[in-house]
Amino acid sequence: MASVSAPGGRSTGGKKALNVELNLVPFIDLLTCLICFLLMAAVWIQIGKISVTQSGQGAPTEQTPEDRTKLNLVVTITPQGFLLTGNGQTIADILKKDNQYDFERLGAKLKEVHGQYPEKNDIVVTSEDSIQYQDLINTMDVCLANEFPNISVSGTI
Amino acid sequence: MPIKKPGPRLATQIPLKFAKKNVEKKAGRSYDVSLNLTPMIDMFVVLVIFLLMTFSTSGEILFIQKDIELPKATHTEQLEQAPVIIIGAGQVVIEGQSVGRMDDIAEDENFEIPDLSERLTNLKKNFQQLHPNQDFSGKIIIQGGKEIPFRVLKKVMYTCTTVGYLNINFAVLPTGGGSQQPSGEAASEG
Repeated sequence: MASVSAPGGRSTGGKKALNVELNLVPFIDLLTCLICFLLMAAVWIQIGKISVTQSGQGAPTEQTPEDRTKLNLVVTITPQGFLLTGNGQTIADILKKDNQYDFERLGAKLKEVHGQYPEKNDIVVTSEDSIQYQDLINTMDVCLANEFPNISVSGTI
Repeated sequence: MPIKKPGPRLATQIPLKFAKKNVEKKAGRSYDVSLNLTPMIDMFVVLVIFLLMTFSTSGEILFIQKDIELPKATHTEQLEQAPVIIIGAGQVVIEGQSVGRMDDIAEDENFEIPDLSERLTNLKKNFQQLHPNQDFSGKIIIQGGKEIPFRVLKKVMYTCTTVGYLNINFAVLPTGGGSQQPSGEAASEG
Protein backbone atom coordinates (compact mmCIF):
# COMPACT_ATOMS: atom_id res chain seq x y z
CA MET A 1 0.00 0.00 0.00
CA ALA A 2 0.99 3.63 -0.06
CA SER A 3 3.98 4.29 2.14
CA VAL A 4 6.23 7.18 2.98
CA SER A 5 9.85 6.22 3.48
CA ALA A 6 12.36 8.48 5.20
CA PRO A 7 15.86 8.12 3.75
CA GLY A 8 18.31 6.84 6.31
CA GLY A 9 15.57 5.92 8.69
CA ARG A 10 17.40 2.85 9.84
CA SER A 11 20.90 4.34 9.84
CA THR A 12 20.19 6.67 12.77
CA GLY A 13 20.74 3.87 15.14
CA GLY A 14 17.24 3.43 16.44
CA LYS A 15 15.46 0.20 15.77
CA LYS A 16 12.17 1.89 14.98
CA ALA A 17 11.73 2.50 11.28
CA LEU A 18 10.56 5.91 10.14
CA ASN A 19 8.64 4.51 7.19
CA VAL A 20 4.96 5.37 7.49
CA GLU A 21 2.14 3.49 5.85
CA LEU A 22 -0.74 5.75 4.88
CA ASN A 23 -4.07 4.16 5.62
CA LEU A 24 -5.93 4.61 2.38
CA VAL A 25 -8.90 2.42 3.22
CA PRO A 26 -11.14 5.19 4.68
CA PHE A 27 -10.27 7.42 1.75
CA ILE A 28 -11.28 4.73 -0.74
CA ASP A 29 -14.48 4.13 1.22
CA LEU A 30 -15.33 7.80 1.08
CA LEU A 31 -14.63 8.03 -2.63
CA THR A 32 -16.70 4.94 -3.35
CA CYS A 33 -19.67 6.32 -1.40
CA LEU A 34 -19.36 9.66 -3.15
CA ILE A 35 -19.24 8.04 -6.58
CA CYS A 36 -22.29 5.91 -5.82
CA PHE A 37 -24.26 8.94 -4.63
CA LEU A 38 -23.24 11.12 -7.57
CA LEU A 39 -23.99 8.37 -10.08
CA MET A 40 -27.47 7.96 -8.65
CA ALA A 41 -28.15 11.68 -8.51
CA ALA A 42 -26.73 12.39 -11.97
CA VAL A 43 -29.10 13.77 -14.60
CA TRP A 44 -28.00 12.38 -17.90
CA ILE A 45 -30.44 14.13 -20.22
CA GLN A 46 -30.47 17.90 -20.11
CA ILE A 47 -33.81 19.44 -21.01
CA GLY A 48 -34.30 23.08 -21.82
CA LYS A 49 -37.39 25.22 -22.11
CA ILE A 50 -38.84 27.91 -24.30
CA SER A 51 -41.00 30.23 -22.31
CA VAL A 52 -44.10 31.70 -23.93
CA THR A 53 -47.36 33.35 -23.03
CA GLN A 54 -50.71 32.87 -24.65
CA SER A 55 -52.13 35.86 -26.45
CA GLY A 56 -55.41 36.58 -28.13
CA GLN A 57 -57.57 35.82 -25.10
CA GLY A 58 -61.04 37.22 -24.79
CA ALA A 59 -62.49 40.18 -26.64
CA PRO A 60 -60.06 42.58 -28.29
CA THR A 61 -59.43 45.62 -26.13
CA GLU A 62 -59.59 49.12 -27.48
CA GLN A 63 -56.30 50.38 -28.80
CA THR A 64 -54.87 53.53 -27.34
CA PRO A 65 -53.10 55.97 -29.69
CA GLU A 66 -49.81 54.77 -28.20
CA ASP A 67 -50.61 51.20 -29.14
CA ARG A 68 -51.31 52.21 -32.70
CA THR A 69 -47.83 53.59 -33.17
CA LYS A 70 -46.36 50.33 -31.90
CA LEU A 71 -45.63 47.51 -34.27
CA ASN A 72 -47.74 44.44 -33.72
CA LEU A 73 -45.45 41.81 -35.21
CA VAL A 74 -47.02 38.47 -36.06
CA VAL A 75 -45.51 35.37 -37.65
CA THR A 76 -48.13 33.04 -39.05
CA ILE A 77 -47.10 29.52 -39.93
CA THR A 78 -49.13 28.04 -42.76
CA PRO A 79 -48.65 24.80 -44.67
CA GLN A 80 -47.24 26.94 -47.51
CA GLY A 81 -44.70 28.87 -45.48
CA PHE A 82 -44.45 31.87 -43.16
CA LEU A 83 -46.38 35.10 -43.27
CA LEU A 84 -44.76 37.96 -41.39
CA THR A 85 -47.11 40.83 -40.68
CA GLY A 86 -46.81 44.09 -38.82
CA ASN A 87 -50.01 45.83 -37.73
CA GLY A 88 -51.93 43.71 -40.23
CA GLN A 89 -49.70 44.73 -43.16
CA THR A 90 -47.71 41.98 -44.81
CA ILE A 91 -43.99 42.49 -44.28
CA ALA A 92 -42.87 39.28 -45.93
CA ASP A 93 -44.41 36.16 -47.39
CA ILE A 94 -41.81 33.44 -47.05
CA LEU A 95 -42.77 30.33 -48.96
CA LYS A 96 -41.37 26.89 -48.34
CA LYS A 97 -38.15 26.04 -50.14
CA ASP A 98 -37.78 22.43 -51.34
CA ASN A 99 -40.87 21.57 -49.31
CA GLN A 100 -39.15 22.77 -46.12
CA TYR A 101 -39.66 25.90 -44.10
CA ASP A 102 -37.15 28.61 -44.96
CA PHE A 103 -35.98 29.50 -41.46
CA GLU A 104 -32.94 31.37 -42.78
CA ARG A 105 -35.07 33.86 -44.71
CA LEU A 106 -37.42 34.30 -41.77
CA GLY A 107 -34.40 34.99 -39.57
CA ALA A 108 -33.06 37.55 -42.05
CA LYS A 109 -36.45 39.33 -42.20
CA LEU A 110 -36.77 39.37 -38.42
CA LYS A 111 -33.28 40.82 -38.15
CA GLU A 112 -34.29 43.52 -40.62
CA VAL A 113 -37.38 44.36 -38.55
CA HIS A 114 -35.32 44.39 -35.37
CA GLY A 115 -32.92 46.80 -37.04
CA GLN A 116 -35.83 49.17 -37.75
CA TYR A 117 -37.38 48.78 -34.28
CA PRO A 118 -34.43 48.07 -31.95
CA GLU A 119 -36.48 48.41 -28.74
CA LYS A 120 -39.06 45.85 -29.91
CA ASN A 121 -38.71 42.49 -28.22
CA ASP A 122 -42.17 40.98 -28.44
CA ILE A 123 -43.60 38.88 -31.21
CA VAL A 124 -46.74 36.82 -31.70
CA VAL A 125 -46.42 33.39 -33.26
CA THR A 126 -49.57 31.86 -34.63
CA SER A 127 -50.12 28.80 -36.66
CA GLU A 128 -52.64 26.82 -38.60
CA ASP A 129 -54.16 23.81 -36.86
CA SER A 130 -52.31 21.19 -38.88
CA ILE A 131 -48.81 22.55 -38.21
CA GLN A 132 -46.54 20.26 -36.25
CA TYR A 133 -45.07 21.18 -32.88
CA GLN A 134 -41.46 20.89 -34.12
CA ASP A 135 -42.09 23.58 -36.77
CA LEU A 136 -43.62 25.85 -34.14
CA ILE A 137 -40.63 25.34 -31.86
CA ASN A 138 -38.20 25.98 -34.73
CA THR A 139 -40.02 29.22 -35.55
CA MET A 140 -39.86 30.34 -31.93
CA ASP A 141 -36.19 29.40 -31.89
CA VAL A 142 -35.59 31.70 -34.88
CA CYS A 143 -37.47 34.51 -33.07
CA LEU A 144 -35.27 34.01 -29.98
CA ALA A 145 -32.15 34.00 -32.14
CA ASN A 146 -33.14 37.37 -33.59
CA GLU A 147 -33.69 39.06 -30.26
CA PHE A 148 -37.42 38.67 -29.86
CA PRO A 149 -37.40 36.92 -26.48
CA ASN A 150 -40.94 37.92 -25.57
CA ILE A 151 -42.91 35.34 -27.53
CA SER A 152 -46.65 34.90 -27.32
CA VAL A 153 -48.51 32.10 -29.04
CA SER A 154 -51.91 32.87 -30.41
CA GLY A 155 -54.47 30.20 -31.14
CA THR A 156 -56.47 32.25 -33.59
CA ILE A 157 -55.14 33.46 -36.91
CA MET B 1 0.49 -45.66 -16.93
CA PRO B 2 2.95 -46.73 -14.22
CA ILE B 3 1.73 -47.50 -10.76
CA LYS B 4 2.92 -44.98 -8.15
CA LYS B 5 3.32 -45.36 -4.43
CA PRO B 6 0.66 -43.21 -2.77
CA GLY B 7 2.03 -40.16 -0.91
CA PRO B 8 0.62 -38.56 2.26
CA ARG B 9 -2.92 -37.41 1.79
CA LEU B 10 -5.28 -35.20 3.77
CA ALA B 11 -8.24 -36.83 2.28
CA THR B 12 -8.65 -39.14 -0.60
CA GLN B 13 -9.38 -36.26 -3.00
CA ILE B 14 -6.98 -33.56 -1.76
CA PRO B 15 -3.29 -34.07 -2.41
CA LEU B 16 -0.91 -32.37 -0.02
CA LYS B 17 1.39 -31.32 -2.82
CA PHE B 18 0.77 -27.59 -2.37
CA ALA B 19 1.28 -27.63 1.37
CA LYS B 20 4.42 -29.70 0.92
CA LYS B 21 5.79 -27.25 -1.65
CA ASN B 22 5.25 -24.29 0.67
CA VAL B 23 6.89 -25.96 3.59
CA GLU B 24 9.87 -26.92 1.52
CA LYS B 25 10.46 -23.32 0.39
CA LYS B 26 12.68 -20.88 2.24
CA ALA B 27 11.26 -20.15 5.66
CA GLY B 28 10.28 -16.57 6.51
CA ARG B 29 9.33 -15.51 3.01
CA SER B 30 6.14 -13.47 3.14
CA TYR B 31 3.25 -14.29 0.89
CA ASP B 32 1.46 -10.97 1.52
CA VAL B 33 0.89 -9.10 -1.70
CA SER B 34 0.35 -5.36 -1.49
CA LEU B 35 -2.01 -4.04 -4.10
CA ASN B 36 -0.99 -0.86 -5.85
CA LEU B 37 -3.98 1.34 -5.06
CA THR B 38 -2.64 4.60 -6.48
CA PRO B 39 -4.10 4.19 -10.02
CA MET B 40 -7.46 3.19 -8.55
CA ILE B 41 -7.57 6.29 -6.34
CA ASP B 42 -6.53 8.44 -9.30
CA MET B 43 -9.39 7.03 -11.32
CA PHE B 44 -11.84 7.53 -8.44
CA VAL B 45 -10.80 11.15 -8.03
CA VAL B 46 -11.22 11.87 -11.74
CA LEU B 47 -14.64 10.19 -11.68
CA VAL B 48 -15.74 12.18 -8.63
CA ILE B 49 -14.62 15.45 -10.23
CA PHE B 50 -16.46 14.63 -13.47
CA LEU B 51 -19.65 13.68 -11.63
CA LEU B 52 -19.48 16.78 -9.44
CA MET B 53 -19.12 18.96 -12.54
CA THR B 54 -22.21 17.43 -14.17
CA PHE B 55 -24.20 17.47 -10.92
CA SER B 56 -27.44 19.33 -11.22
CA THR B 57 -29.09 20.63 -8.08
CA SER B 58 -32.52 20.87 -9.68
CA GLY B 59 -32.69 17.10 -10.15
CA GLU B 60 -34.74 15.34 -12.73
CA ILE B 61 -37.84 17.39 -13.50
CA LEU B 62 -39.13 15.51 -16.49
CA PHE B 63 -39.43 11.81 -16.95
CA ILE B 64 -38.57 11.12 -20.55
CA GLN B 65 -40.93 8.65 -22.11
CA LYS B 66 -39.81 6.35 -24.87
CA ASP B 67 -42.68 7.09 -27.23
CA ILE B 68 -42.48 10.88 -26.91
CA GLU B 69 -39.70 12.54 -28.84
CA LEU B 70 -39.17 16.11 -27.72
CA PRO B 71 -38.54 18.81 -30.32
CA LYS B 72 -35.07 20.28 -30.58
CA ALA B 73 -34.11 23.92 -30.20
CA THR B 74 -30.92 25.91 -29.82
CA HIS B 75 -32.00 28.89 -27.72
CA THR B 76 -33.21 27.39 -24.49
CA GLU B 77 -33.33 28.29 -20.84
CA GLN B 78 -32.94 26.06 -17.83
CA LEU B 79 -36.03 24.16 -16.84
CA GLU B 80 -37.58 24.80 -13.42
CA GLN B 81 -39.87 22.73 -11.27
CA ALA B 82 -43.53 23.03 -12.30
CA PRO B 83 -46.52 20.80 -13.06
CA VAL B 84 -46.02 18.84 -16.28
CA ILE B 85 -48.57 18.24 -19.02
CA ILE B 86 -47.53 15.45 -21.37
CA ILE B 87 -48.99 15.49 -24.87
CA GLY B 88 -48.08 12.49 -26.95
CA ALA B 89 -48.71 8.83 -27.66
CA GLY B 90 -52.37 9.68 -28.35
CA GLN B 91 -53.03 10.98 -24.85
CA VAL B 92 -52.96 14.18 -22.85
CA VAL B 93 -51.62 13.44 -19.38
CA ILE B 94 -51.20 15.70 -16.38
CA GLU B 95 -49.21 14.59 -13.34
CA GLY B 96 -49.48 10.97 -14.46
CA GLN B 97 -53.25 11.00 -15.02
CA SER B 98 -54.86 10.99 -18.42
CA VAL B 99 -57.33 13.76 -19.17
CA GLY B 100 -58.38 12.65 -22.62
CA ARG B 101 -57.41 11.19 -25.94
CA MET B 102 -55.68 13.48 -28.40
CA ASP B 103 -58.11 12.62 -31.22
CA ASP B 104 -61.12 13.47 -29.08
CA ILE B 105 -59.57 16.76 -28.00
CA ALA B 106 -58.68 17.62 -31.60
CA GLU B 107 -62.21 16.96 -32.79
CA ASP B 108 -63.94 18.74 -29.92
CA GLU B 109 -65.47 22.09 -30.82
CA ASN B 110 -64.71 23.57 -27.41
CA PHE B 111 -61.33 25.12 -26.75
CA GLU B 112 -61.36 24.21 -23.10
CA ILE B 113 -60.56 20.64 -21.98
CA PRO B 114 -62.84 20.11 -18.93
CA ASP B 115 -60.83 17.34 -17.18
CA LEU B 116 -57.57 19.21 -17.63
CA SER B 117 -59.15 22.40 -16.38
CA GLU B 118 -60.43 20.62 -13.26
CA ARG B 119 -57.08 19.05 -12.44
CA LEU B 120 -55.21 22.30 -13.03
CA THR B 121 -57.63 24.12 -10.75
CA ASN B 122 -57.00 21.51 -8.05
CA LEU B 123 -53.24 21.85 -8.48
CA LYS B 124 -53.50 25.61 -8.19
CA LYS B 125 -55.64 25.31 -5.06
CA ASN B 126 -53.20 22.84 -3.52
CA PHE B 127 -50.29 25.15 -4.22
CA GLN B 128 -52.05 28.09 -2.65
CA GLN B 129 -52.95 26.05 0.43
CA LEU B 130 -49.45 24.66 0.85
CA HIS B 131 -47.66 27.95 0.18
CA PRO B 132 -49.98 30.67 1.54
CA ASN B 133 -47.19 33.25 1.69
CA GLN B 134 -45.94 32.70 -1.83
CA ASP B 135 -47.26 34.26 -4.99
CA PHE B 136 -48.63 31.82 -7.51
CA SER B 137 -46.14 31.86 -10.39
CA GLY B 138 -48.44 30.22 -12.93
CA LYS B 139 -45.66 28.11 -14.36
CA ILE B 140 -46.47 24.99 -16.28
CA ILE B 141 -44.37 22.70 -18.43
CA ILE B 142 -45.71 21.24 -21.65
CA GLN B 143 -43.84 18.13 -22.70
CA GLY B 144 -45.07 17.41 -26.20
CA GLY B 145 -43.98 15.03 -28.90
CA LYS B 146 -42.55 16.84 -31.91
CA GLU B 147 -45.25 15.56 -34.25
CA ILE B 148 -48.31 16.73 -32.28
CA PRO B 149 -50.58 19.12 -34.22
CA PHE B 150 -51.07 22.72 -33.16
CA ARG B 151 -54.81 22.01 -32.95
CA VAL B 152 -54.30 20.03 -29.71
CA LEU B 153 -51.54 22.24 -28.35
CA LYS B 154 -53.58 25.44 -28.58
CA LYS B 155 -56.46 23.84 -26.67
CA VAL B 156 -54.10 22.70 -23.90
CA MET B 157 -52.55 26.18 -23.79
CA TYR B 158 -55.96 27.83 -23.74
CA THR B 159 -57.07 25.65 -20.82
CA CYS B 160 -53.89 26.45 -18.90
CA THR B 161 -54.39 30.17 -19.43
CA THR B 162 -58.03 30.15 -18.37
CA VAL B 163 -57.13 28.41 -15.10
CA GLY B 164 -54.35 30.89 -14.39
CA TYR B 165 -51.21 29.15 -15.59
CA LEU B 166 -49.97 32.01 -17.75
CA ASN B 167 -46.29 31.14 -17.81
CA ILE B 168 -46.16 28.25 -20.27
CA ASN B 169 -42.86 26.48 -20.82
CA PHE B 170 -42.27 24.13 -23.72
CA ALA B 171 -39.82 21.38 -22.85
CA VAL B 172 -37.25 20.98 -25.63
CA LEU B 173 -34.01 19.14 -26.14
CA PRO B 174 -31.22 21.69 -26.39
CA THR B 175 -28.87 21.20 -29.31
CA GLY B 176 -25.35 22.56 -29.46
CA GLY B 177 -24.42 26.07 -30.63
CA GLY B 178 -26.66 28.29 -28.52
CA SER B 179 -26.24 31.37 -30.66
CA GLN B 180 -26.80 29.64 -33.97
CA GLN B 181 -29.97 29.62 -35.94
CA PRO B 182 -31.46 26.28 -36.76
CA SER B 183 -29.78 25.05 -39.87
CA GLY B 184 -31.49 23.47 -42.84
CA GLU B 185 -30.73 20.10 -41.29
CA ALA B 186 -32.54 21.00 -38.10
CA ALA B 187 -35.43 22.37 -40.07
CA SER B 188 -35.76 19.21 -42.08
CA GLU B 189 -36.35 17.20 -38.95
CA GLY B 190 -39.73 18.84 -38.48
